[in-house]
Amino acid sequence: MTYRVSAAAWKMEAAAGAAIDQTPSTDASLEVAPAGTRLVLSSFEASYSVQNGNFTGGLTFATWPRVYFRDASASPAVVFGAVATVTRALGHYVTCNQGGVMVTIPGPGVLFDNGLSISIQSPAVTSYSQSITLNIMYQV
Amino acid sequence: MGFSYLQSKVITIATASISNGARVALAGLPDHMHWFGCNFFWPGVNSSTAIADVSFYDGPTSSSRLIIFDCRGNSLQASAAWATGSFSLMLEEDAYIQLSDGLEVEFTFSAGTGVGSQGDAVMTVFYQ
Repeated sequence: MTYRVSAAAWKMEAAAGAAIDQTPSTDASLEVAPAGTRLVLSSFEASYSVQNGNFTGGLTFATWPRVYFRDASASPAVVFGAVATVTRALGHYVTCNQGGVMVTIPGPGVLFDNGLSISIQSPAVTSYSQSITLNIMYQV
Repeated sequence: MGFSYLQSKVITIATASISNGARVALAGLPDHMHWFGCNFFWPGVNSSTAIADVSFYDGPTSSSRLIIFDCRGNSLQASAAWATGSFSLMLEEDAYIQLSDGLEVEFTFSAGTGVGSQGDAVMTVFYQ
């Protein structure tokens, strides 16, 4: 027996000096499935890049750009979070010719039994634009 | 069911067809895919561009992105002017994606950085 999966993708951008802070309240498409829906997340990929590769601003683990997978309740609880993979880093002359890593969740995937909403966050980068891309595959 | 061998197709997208936000149909692909992979070469991209990405959509009018690939992140340096990339959607053996209106690719880029102006983009897609 075969079954159908769905794919969805987003790109969140911020101009120089601006942070990325996106939730379903700022982008309705980040509510993938409403509260009460059962959904299984089977894979995801989150990538991060900065214009000119200028990773300034003193990013630490606490502030590193990341994605949170939450339920879709009125106060969305975090099911798990993942840091975004750098797709280009360390200056103009260092090769980092690689996209983000597609993470295939083992087995049947992660169950979200009360909907799925996503939040995407990154602190501002001085003088350069930044972006986070996110790909997911899921079953409803 | 079991996997059979993948099929492949080389698609050349002429420079004239690459404009910011325009979608190009990838003709000849099935609407019911168990596996999709893509390797591409897109000249004209460098790391200083504000935006450069390749997205795939289900048909010409759908607003829902299926896949996005950040190409700025794949440029080697500010003076380089091309992006390459590979990605794949590897599904469970019995899973599939259903396309209702064909697969379309969209190139998005910011003007003034030479993006999309230095030759044809070439992509090889693998599918089943």
